[in-house]
Amino acid sequence: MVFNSVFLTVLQVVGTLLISAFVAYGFAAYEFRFKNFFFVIVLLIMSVPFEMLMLPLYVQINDMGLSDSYAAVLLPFLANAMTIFFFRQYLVGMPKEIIEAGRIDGATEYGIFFKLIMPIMKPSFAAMAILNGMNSWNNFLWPLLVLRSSDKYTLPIGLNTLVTPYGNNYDLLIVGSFFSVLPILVLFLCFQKYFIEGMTAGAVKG
Amino acid sequence: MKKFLYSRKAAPYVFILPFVVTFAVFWLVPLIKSGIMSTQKILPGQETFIGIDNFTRLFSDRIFLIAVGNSFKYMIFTLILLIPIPMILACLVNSKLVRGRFKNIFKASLFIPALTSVVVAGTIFRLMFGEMDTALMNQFIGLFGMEPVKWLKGAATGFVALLTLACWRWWGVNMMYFLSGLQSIPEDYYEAASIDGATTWQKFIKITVPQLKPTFVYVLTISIYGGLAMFNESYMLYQGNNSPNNIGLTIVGYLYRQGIEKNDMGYASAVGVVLLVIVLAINITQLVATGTFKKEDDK
Repeated sequence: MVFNSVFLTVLQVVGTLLISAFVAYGFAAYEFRFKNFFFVIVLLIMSVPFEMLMLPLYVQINDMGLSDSYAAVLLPFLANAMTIFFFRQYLVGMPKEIIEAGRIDGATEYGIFFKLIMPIMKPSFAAMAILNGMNSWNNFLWPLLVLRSSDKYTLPIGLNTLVTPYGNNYDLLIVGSFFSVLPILVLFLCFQKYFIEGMTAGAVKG
Repeated sequence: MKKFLYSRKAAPYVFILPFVVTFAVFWLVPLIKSGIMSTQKILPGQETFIGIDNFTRLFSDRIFLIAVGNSFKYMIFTLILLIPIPMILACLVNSKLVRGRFKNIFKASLFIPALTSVVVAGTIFRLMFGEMDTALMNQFIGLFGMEPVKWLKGAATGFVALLTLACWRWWGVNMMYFLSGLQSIPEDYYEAASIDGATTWQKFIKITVPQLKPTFVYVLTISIYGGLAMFNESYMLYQGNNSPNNIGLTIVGYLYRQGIEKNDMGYASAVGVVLLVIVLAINITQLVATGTFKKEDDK
């Protein structure tokens, strides 16, 4: 269970950060048709409760033959609206000269993003790594719905199985709880400094 | 083809493509499906169109109305408790009253609850608000000479437990948001105000509060959403989705009960659509009232 949780969280954080940054750069660096239209969609998604879409999404996942797979847990959150919005706010403030300089040096549009932009996004990556890591590590309802075989359970679901109406296994529960908090705590303490910096830099300016 | 993909015209679309695909597959399709399902009666392998019957049934459903009432009550109380207090805490942490090392300890200790899983937090809180005389909260009120209370059995006391859990978990997160907002206020403003002889209180009202407005709007938006869509906390506190007399039932809890436990997908979708309309209506009203949309246009 611990392994499952670590595996899923790492995959989710890396995937979400990369993809969301990629998309956010598109929104921040270019002018194109439908840009505002898509950006409004990002904003709207941020205020649609995921729980509302949960059931149809669950049906959809079953139809796609993805039920009881990790893909079902990960995929819906990869291009995360919150994270895209945050990165976009961060990138809007960057100097456009960087891009121009990259173009003059003959880098491709994607080369500019990977070689020039990603390095300067580090502080915001740290902030979003903590937030996304926290959400993914503690994600309960969606994995509970999607995952069926117990060998795929994540830590929160596993802990929840110890809670039964017929009496709880408190010894195990407390030990499990301790280990469920520990990794995310270490992550937070390590990145704490960058966390606030990153939040300040990108964060909520509008 | 390759040349086209690398051109400046095509690049932005390639960049936002992952989002558009995810949006279409995992949001738009389910959203439309949900809309369609809410007008159907769904039995395994058989769907019949029944128009707005699900909705008329919903609005005369006493338990659904209880759930809506609970969610609204929870949202309003979390707005009262989860916005002003973290804001003041953030100002305190940011001020010179709290020094270096204490600042970090204080910040970390407030934020750590948010890192714990809701499963863990719910279980611990259930023990704290237990029925026995020895449960922590009963011992605590015993200090003031009060009789032990069956916390989770009563509507009001159960609600207190729920709100305590919410405060414990979210104060730190909201404080972080405000803290990051505070730190982006230029120091010059305060210096200029000091030169003009402003008091601390005047500085707070005239500089801090207006400068924090975007943060405030953001926290308000996510709190409205989070309050109305609350489910996990109640699910864990009551060991499942069934609380005595439905005192802990929320809209999402009801959706879960109808859709997963009773397998009535059509009816559950109707619950989802109502929830969506409520959240969007409140948040859009709020965003228009605070003028956030206007600002987006200016950019």
